[in-house]
Amino acid sequence: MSFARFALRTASRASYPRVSLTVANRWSRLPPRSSFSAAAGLSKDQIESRVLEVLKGFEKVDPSKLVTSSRFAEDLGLDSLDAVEVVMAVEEEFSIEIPDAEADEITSVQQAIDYIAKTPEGTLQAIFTLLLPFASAGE
Amino acid sequence: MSNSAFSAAHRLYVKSLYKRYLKNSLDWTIMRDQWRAQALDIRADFERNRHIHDPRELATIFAKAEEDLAAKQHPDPVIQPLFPGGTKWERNAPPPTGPIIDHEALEHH
Repeated sequence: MSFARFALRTASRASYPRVSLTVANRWSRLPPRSSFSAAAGLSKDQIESRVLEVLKGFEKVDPSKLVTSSRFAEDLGLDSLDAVEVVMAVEEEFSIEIPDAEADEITSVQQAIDYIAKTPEGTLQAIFTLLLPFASAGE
Repeated sequence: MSNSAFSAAHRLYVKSLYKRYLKNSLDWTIMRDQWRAQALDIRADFERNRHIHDPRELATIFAKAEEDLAAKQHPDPVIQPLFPGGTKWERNAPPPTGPIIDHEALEHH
C-alpha cells in the first residue's frame, strides 16, 4: 500500500511544472499553490538582455550586427566551435547545463533565449548568482 | 566536408569533445583570465586538425584525444547547483499537491 501511495505521489509531483507563470487551461483547475514559486523567475526581457550581453563579450561578434533574430553562422559569422563557446557562456550566465543534443539545435540568439525561458532552472538563476560569487570571477 | 555521410554525427561528436575539453580545463582553472589562454590552446589543437577528412586518421586522433582527456579528468568537477550531482539537486522539491487519497475508504481495507 505504501509503495502504491509513494508511486502515486511521485507521479503527481512530477507532473507539476516548477515555474508556471503562464498557466494554460489544463493547469487552471489545479490548486493555486502549485505555482507558488512563480514570482522568482527572470522575465523574458531580462533573459534577452543578458543573452545579448553574453554575446557582446565575444571578440568575433560584431556588436552592430547583434540583434535577437541574428543567427550564429549566417549573420554573426561564428563556426560550430564558436557556437559551442557561446552555449558554454550562456550556460554559465544562467547556471544551467545544456545537453549536447539540445545545444546543437541552438543556432540563433532567439533560440538561446527561448531555451532559457523554457528551462525552469535557467529562470531561477538570479538567486544562485548571489550564492556563487566566484562563478563569474574574472569575467 | 559537408558532403560526407558521417558529417552530422561527426560534427556533433567534435562539438561534444571540444566542450568536454573546455569544461575540464575550466574545472581545473577557475580564474577566467588564466583559463582563457588554455581555451585558446585547446581551440588551436582543434583547428590544427580541421582539414583532416580521412576517417581512419580521424579515428586515431579521437582515440588519442579521449585518452588524453580521461587522463586529466578533474576528480571533482564544477556542477551547477540545480543539476544532477549539484548541491541543490532535488532539494526543496515542491510538496505533493495532488488530491488527498482517502486510504480508509479504499477497497483494500
